[in-house]
Amino acid sequence: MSAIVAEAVSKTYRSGVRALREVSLSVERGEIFGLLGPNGAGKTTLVKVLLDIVRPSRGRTALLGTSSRQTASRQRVGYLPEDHRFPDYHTAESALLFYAGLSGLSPRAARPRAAALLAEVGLADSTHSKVRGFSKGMKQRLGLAQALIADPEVLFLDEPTDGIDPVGRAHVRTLLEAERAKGRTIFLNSHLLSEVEQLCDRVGILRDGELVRVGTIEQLTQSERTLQVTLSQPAGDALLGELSRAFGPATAAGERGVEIALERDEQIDAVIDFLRARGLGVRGLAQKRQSLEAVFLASLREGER
Amino acid sequence: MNAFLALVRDVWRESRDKRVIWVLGLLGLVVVAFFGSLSFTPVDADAALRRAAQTLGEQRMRQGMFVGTMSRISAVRVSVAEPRAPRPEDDFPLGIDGLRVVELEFADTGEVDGLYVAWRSVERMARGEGRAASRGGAPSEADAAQAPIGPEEHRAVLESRFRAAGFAPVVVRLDPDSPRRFVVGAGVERPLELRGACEVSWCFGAFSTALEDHSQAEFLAELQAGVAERFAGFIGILVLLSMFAAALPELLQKGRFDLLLARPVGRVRLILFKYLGAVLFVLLLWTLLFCGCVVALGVTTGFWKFGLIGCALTCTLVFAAIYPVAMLVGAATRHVTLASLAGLMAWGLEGIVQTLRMLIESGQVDRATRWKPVIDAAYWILPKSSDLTRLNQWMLARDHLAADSAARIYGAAPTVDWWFAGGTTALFAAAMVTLTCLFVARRDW
Ligand SMILES: Nc1ncnc2c1ncn2[C@@H]1O[C@H](COP(=O)(O)OP(=O)(O)OP(=O)(O)O)[C@@H](O)[C@H]1O
Ligand SMILES: [Mg+2]
Repeated sequence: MSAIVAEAVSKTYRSGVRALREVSLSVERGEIFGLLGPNGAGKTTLVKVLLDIVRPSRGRTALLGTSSRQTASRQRVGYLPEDHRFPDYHTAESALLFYAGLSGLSPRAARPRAAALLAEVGLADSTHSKVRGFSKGMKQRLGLAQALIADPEVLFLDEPTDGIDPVGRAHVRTLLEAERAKGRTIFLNSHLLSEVEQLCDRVGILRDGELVRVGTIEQLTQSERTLQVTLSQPAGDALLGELSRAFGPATAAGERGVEIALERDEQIDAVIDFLRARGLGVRGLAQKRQSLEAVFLASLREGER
Repeated sequence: MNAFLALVRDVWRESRDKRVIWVLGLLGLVVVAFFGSLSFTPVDADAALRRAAQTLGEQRMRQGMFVGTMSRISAVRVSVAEPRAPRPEDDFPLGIDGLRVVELEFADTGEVDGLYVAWRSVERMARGEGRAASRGGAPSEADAAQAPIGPEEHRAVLESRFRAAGFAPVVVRLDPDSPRRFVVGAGVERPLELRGACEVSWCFGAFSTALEDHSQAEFLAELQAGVAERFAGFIGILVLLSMFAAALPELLQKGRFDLLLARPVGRVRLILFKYLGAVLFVLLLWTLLFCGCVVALGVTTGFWKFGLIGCALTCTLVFAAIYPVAMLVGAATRHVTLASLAGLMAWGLEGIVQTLRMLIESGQVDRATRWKPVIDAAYWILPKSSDLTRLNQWMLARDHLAADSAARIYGAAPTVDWWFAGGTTALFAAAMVTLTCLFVARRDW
């Protein structure tokens, strides 16, 4: 049973904006899934549909095997909305107890957990301070604690590190890794590609409400067949010219490196034979990775064409 | 259950955060302190009896069931003997303790006839009958023409008049020698209900007033009704309505409602619990205030009367019926000012409708007005705060006065059907809450 399932979800807001088009997606238990997309791509809308905050125009969603339309589906779910606002009459602790109560926890059960979480997100000193006096980052930290208060199986985080300083970000990352270690499923919306790259097992790219790419980071970044060969000696222009003619565009990379864009994987054998035949030693061979950023930008450009 | 408690606690925390609730609490303390500062001087029954005999032709007419002024209902000249203990020749039934006797001699039996007619119409008005007919004094002649008035009617009116002054039981003997002379035996079983015999002091004795046309029991009943009506029913509603009207629009703010919707609590429950939280808060507030008044009065004067606590329910019911209007508008517009304005307007409208309907019923506005069906329909639908205010007065009268006195003073057969008034008010509340829930449940947030 997948932790998160979306089947052909479409959402057209009453204003006429088509925020999601036929999005199908499934996230397994224990996975960290990152959803990328430019502003207005529909990332937040998708999370809200999964949580039944927004009702889909078409399609079906389920959390932990229960349809999102049922209240019970949110029993073991935590959510950190973007731009969340806490009622400012709460203190950090009372806010956590309030949300824990809504998830069915008694104050007595929730109090120790609230204290532990506040310490984890670095708000231990502000336990009894009113939320109205919190800075943006402090509110974000409290939001994270709020999402974790009911010990959720599935976590939805909409830009969790927004407004948090670099030290805090690293801290949040550790926190999420600890959650993954506990077998939690995490659904992460983010603009921060480096963050996604470091954390996520799988990534989806949303463009204009369409899910254009899904896969592990390796799958996404490997998609281009560029072979990196390290030679025993520097390659001259003549060699590059010959390689280009025989296989595909070849360029020098560094002192003794050559990059060749291939059309098929089988060509790798031919390249090695070609080099050995000219008495050149092969010292290293690697398939070149694209950065996630390049993949992201490329998939957005595809849409413009 | 935990979710419900969490939301209720949240409502209370939200309320405690508002400054105006503390102002209201402070005012409440002043009211409680006022009750604690009251004291009453003991009753002089003979003075009350003399006064009742001398003011047979005057009656305190209640206005809006709260304040009353003495007005002359009939011209009566009577000479009153000094009150005395009963004698065997008075022939009063045995076994009545503390009976005091006063002898009356009227200047003219015709004046007793007049008193009889006037008093009957006053009594009928108190029962809510014949208000239309009573305008312009027309009914007196009509009544007089209907039935002949004899010694039995004289005896009846005198008995009734002394009862009205708080004496019980009352026995009137006709003098066999003169139709103008009467011997009245007046019991003082209920000293607190004797009119004109009590002095009240407040602010711990700093001020004092003689209660000339009130008994102590009536005074307290009306004072407490005033607290329920003016403080809880007016200032309280005003403050609480404008305070709680902000709650829903604020709750539904982007980024704040999401936090709740992601929890395993349905939207209908969220709204319902929020509503119940507010209603429970108000109920607690009024219960505390009224208990405070009751205890303060009980401790300082020794009169333990608990009826006021019951008024917490009716006062809360009024709030519970008007608040959802603010909720509905708040949910639809997400605008705090509009929400509280809507609540206040619903409250005002409901008051106007009830007043208009009362004017029509009593004939002060032409009964055949073509607006009557509209007003009747609106009356049916809207909450009935005036009716519930009257219920308070009735409950308090029953609490402080003996049943027959309460019935006599506050109307033997109340014109309002309490179950109808309370039931339709609750229905209105339920309908508004349902609409709000539907609205919130169907939307994207
Ligand atoms: N409540 C709403 N009513 C109407 N349109 C909406 C609503 N919420 C979002 N939209 C529209 O839907 C589209 C997707 O919005 P969404 O918030 O899902 O984007 P996003 O990917 O989360 O963007 P960002 O990265 O800026 O957070 C946008 O065009 C937005 O204008
Ligand atoms: Mg977003």
